[in-house]
Amino acid sequence: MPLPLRTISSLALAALLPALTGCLNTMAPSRPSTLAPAIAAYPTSDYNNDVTEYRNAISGKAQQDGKPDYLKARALRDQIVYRAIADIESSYGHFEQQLTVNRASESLLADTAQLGLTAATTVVSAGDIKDILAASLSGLQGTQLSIDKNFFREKTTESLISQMRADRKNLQAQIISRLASQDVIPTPASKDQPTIPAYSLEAAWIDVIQYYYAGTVPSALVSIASNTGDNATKAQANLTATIQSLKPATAAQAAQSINIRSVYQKLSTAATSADSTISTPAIASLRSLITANGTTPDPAATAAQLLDQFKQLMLAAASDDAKLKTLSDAITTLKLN
Amino acid sequence: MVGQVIVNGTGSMADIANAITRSEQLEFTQLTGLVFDPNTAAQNLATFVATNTQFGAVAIVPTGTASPGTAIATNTTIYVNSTKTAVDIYHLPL
Repeated sequence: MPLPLRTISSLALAALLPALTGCLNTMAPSRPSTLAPAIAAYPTSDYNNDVTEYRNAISGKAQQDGKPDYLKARALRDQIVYRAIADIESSYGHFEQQLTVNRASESLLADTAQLGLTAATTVVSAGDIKDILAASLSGLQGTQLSIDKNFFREKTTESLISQMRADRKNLQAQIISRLASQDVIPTPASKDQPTIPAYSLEAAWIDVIQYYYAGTVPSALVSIASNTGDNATKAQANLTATIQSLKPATAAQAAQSINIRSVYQKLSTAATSADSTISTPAIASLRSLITANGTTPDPAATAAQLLDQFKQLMLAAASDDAKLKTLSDAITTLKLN
Repeated sequence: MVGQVIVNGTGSMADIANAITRSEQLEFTQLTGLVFDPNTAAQNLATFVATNTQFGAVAIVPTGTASPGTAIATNTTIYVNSTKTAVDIYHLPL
């Protein structure tokens, strides 16, 4: 005799409940009280007070002498941004966990219901009830597919989380690096460094907003689409990759570069000279210069090969301040200029 | 770096000129053009070609300002201190 449908449903639910509660408890350890959301939270009142204090420091309103206190403003900017990041971080951790559990629970419920319906369809005799069960099964399968397709674009939870983490990490690194290296007002150029643009609270806040949105499913879907997307996206990415950025330079570095290039010109002419009294000392100088920059040239290397090695050192110095200094210092020490 | 290269436009004219000079001298290239990048904020696009000839330092001056050296570009608009500015670009004598 076939089992009644109500009995099948009750059995399925009874089997499902322990599994669900068990899964929920094994997703993460309990959160320490010091990491509780209430502690990591950045209330609006605190934020408003901090922003007012920041603006007063910039305008000099709160100072007795009426002069801006950029040091204080920078400290406040960092504090505001880090508190906001901590708040977002706390919420994101919870969100990631919920996303995993909720999607898994939805799938589990849908799978269980489908299994129940399939089992029920096989045990009831042919007729209206069997047809209704079959139709319900198709409807359930279609709904689950539709949710996956429309909300998650058929991406797995792992791929969504992985993309969100990557995007958030990139933005967080960018924010931290800018906070550490840029002041709230532009830093004028000096002998050793070019002008450093300002990174005001407003500019930092734009990055914080982007950081928040990088931890959302729609943003992850767009990133995944961009990563694996159509040819236009790839072409744009290739174009961006081919357009390189020029390293900023100081006046001293520009002068060093001119000097290095002049020495190259001089040694190039001399080392390839047919007159050995000119070429021999030039080749010796090239060897000393290459050695001073950490490479031992081949004893059998020709003038052309040594010049090529010098050229490689120059190319490396074009995007590396430390290598530029080493090369320039070696030229000065060896009195090649 | 031969081809199109981004040059930050948040610095002064001297900062931009220094960056281009360093690139020209160490990378065996020659600047042939510098314009603001219409697709990004405060960035310029420089065009470089390969060369074995050494040039003097690059000087960037406001359009119409007299400068020694050889003109590379005149009345070109670039980002200077994040503001679109009309400039003339020269190679100073070595």
